Amino acid sequence: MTALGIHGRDIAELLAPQAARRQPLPGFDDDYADIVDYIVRCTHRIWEAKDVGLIATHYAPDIVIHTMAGPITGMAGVIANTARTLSAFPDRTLMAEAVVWADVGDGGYLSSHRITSLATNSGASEFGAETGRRVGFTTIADCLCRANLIVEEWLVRDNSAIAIALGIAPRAVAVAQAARDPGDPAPWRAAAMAAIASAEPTPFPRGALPPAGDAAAFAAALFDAVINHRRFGVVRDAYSPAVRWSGPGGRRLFGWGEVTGWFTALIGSFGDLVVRVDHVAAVGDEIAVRWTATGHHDGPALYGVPSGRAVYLLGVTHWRLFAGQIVEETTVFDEIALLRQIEGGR
Amino acid sequence: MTDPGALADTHLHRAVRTTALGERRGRDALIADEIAAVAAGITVRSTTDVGAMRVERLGVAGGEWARHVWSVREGAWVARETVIEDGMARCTALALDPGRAAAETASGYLGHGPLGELRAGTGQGAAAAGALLPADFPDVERDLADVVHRLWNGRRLDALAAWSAAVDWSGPGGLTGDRDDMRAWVVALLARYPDAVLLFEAATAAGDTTALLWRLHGHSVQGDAVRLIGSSVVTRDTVGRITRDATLIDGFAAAVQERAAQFAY
Repeated sequence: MTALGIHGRDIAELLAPQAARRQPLPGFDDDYADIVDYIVRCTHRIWEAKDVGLIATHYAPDIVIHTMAGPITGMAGVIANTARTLSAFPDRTLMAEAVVWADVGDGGYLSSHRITSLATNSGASEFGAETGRRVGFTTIADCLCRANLIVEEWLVRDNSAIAIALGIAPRAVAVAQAARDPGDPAPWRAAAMAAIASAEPTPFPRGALPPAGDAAAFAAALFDAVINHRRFGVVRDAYSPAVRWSGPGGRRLFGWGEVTGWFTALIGSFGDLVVRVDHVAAVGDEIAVRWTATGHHDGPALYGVPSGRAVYLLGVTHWRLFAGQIVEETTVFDEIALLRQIEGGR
Repeated sequence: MTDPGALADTHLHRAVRTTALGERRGRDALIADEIAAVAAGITVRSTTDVGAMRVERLGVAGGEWARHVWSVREGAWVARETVIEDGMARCTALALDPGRAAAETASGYLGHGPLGELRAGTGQGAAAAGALLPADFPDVERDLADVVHRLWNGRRLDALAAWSAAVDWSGPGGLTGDRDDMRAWVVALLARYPDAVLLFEAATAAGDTTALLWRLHGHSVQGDAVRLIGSSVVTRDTVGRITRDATLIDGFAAAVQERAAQFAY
C-alpha cells in the first residue's frame, strides 16, 4: 500500500471522497486515504473551503512553524496568520504541484507540499494596502505529521514574487520590516547560523556524484559540491541541458548556463556561504530537499550593495528527475526575509 | 478558438502555459485567455497535429498568423503547454503598430536580469560537433538536431545544404520563401543577436514530419538580453533532405524584452 500521488489527477478527483485507506495512517481521520490525500484535502478544507477552525484538529497545540523570518509557535498563531492571509487574499486557491513524502516511522510522515497559489489582493496585507492585483506565487510546506496533526512545519514562501506582482519593491517591504526590528539578529537566528557555520568542513569532492537513485546521498553531494566547494561545473553532471528551473522572485531559468549562473550569483552575493542539507524525501522521480545556509552579504550579485551582514537562509528545493538527471527544479526561499536581514532587521 | 470552458475536460486544474513572455498558471487563467481571444474575434482556422505538438493558423478578419503549441500530458490530461506565436504577424493582422504595441507591453513587463553564460562551460572553445540534447530526446532525430546545431550554434551556413534549395520555408513575421530566404533570415537574426545560442528542449514526430522545440538565448547588438522560445516543423524526403520547414519564434516577444526594464533588488 502506498500513496496515490497527484500525477495525472484533476482537482475533482483529488477532492472527491476517497476509497479505502491506501497507507497506514494511525490516528488520522478515517476519511483520509493516504498522506497525500491528507495534505491536499486538509489544505483545501482550511484555505479554500474556509474552515479555518479545522486547524484545531490538524495542528498540534504546541506546533512550531519554522520560517526564514522566525518561528511561529502554537496553534492559535497558525489560526491568526491564516485568517490574516485570507483577509488580504480571500480567493486564494492552492494548487498542489507535488507532495513528496517520507515515512519517518511510528506512523509519522514528512510531507513536502509544493503549492502554486493564485489570489487577488483585496485587503491590507503584510505588504501594504490593498492593491486589487492578482498574484501568483510558490510555497513549499514541509510538514511532520502524526496522528492527524502537523506537529512541526518548515514553511518557505516566495514573498518577493508576491511583492513584485503587487507592484511593490521587495526591498521596500524589507526596509520597513527591518526598521521595526531591534538591531541584533534574533537569538533563534544567531543559534541557527552558528550551528551551520560550526559544522566540520567536508573534504573536497573529487569523485562523481552518487546516483540520483540514492536521493539522500545525491542531494547532499550536489549541494556540497556546488555551494560549499564552489564546483559550479558539477551542474552539468547533475542537471539536464534542458532543465527548467524556478526560483525566488518568480525567476524562471533554462539550461546549464543559467542554472550555473544562479549558483555563481548566490556565491557572488554571499562569498562565505555554507549550506547544510537538513532533510531529503523522495518518491518516484521526485526529490525534496530542505536546507539551511549562512554567510555574509559581501558581494553585489543578487541583492544590491554589500552590507557585510550575516544572513540565514531556509530553503526547500524540489527536483524532478529523468534518466538520473534533474529536468525540473523549484527552489523557494523568502527573499524579503533575506533583504530584511541585509537591511539590519532580525 | 475552442469553447473556453471545454478546457475543463482536457487540461488539469494546475495546467501551465509558457510563452517567451512568461507563464500563465492554472486552468482558470487559460480559460480567461481563451475568452479574451474569442472577444477579440480570433478563430483557429486550421490545425495540424505533429505528435506532441500542433501547428495552428489563427485568424481575424484582417489576416492570419501561425502558432505552435507543444503539450506535455499526464495521462489524458494536458499538464503543460509551451506556446510560440508569430506575434509580429498577429500585430499586422490586428492592425497594430508592432513597435508601439511592444512598448506598451514592455511597460508592464518586469523580467529578472540574465544569469550565467550562454555556452555553459565552453569557454573559448568552438561549438561542439554534435548537439547537446536532453536524455529524452529521440535518437532518431539526433541527425536533424545536429544539423540545426551546426547551423545555429556553429554558424556553419554550409549546414543549409541539408535543406532543399526549393524548400518550402516559412518563418516568423509571416515570412515565406526558399532556402535563400531562410538563409537570409538566419543570418539577419544571428547578426541581430551575435552571441545567440540555440538550446534543444524536445522533439516529436509524426510520419515524415519532425518538430523541434528549442530556446534561443542571447543579447542584441545594443546589449539587451533576450530569452526566446522557438519551434521548427520540418518534413524530409526519402534521402533525408528537408523539403518543408515552418520555423517560428516570437519576434514580438523579442521586441518586448528588448524594451522592458529589468527588475532590480
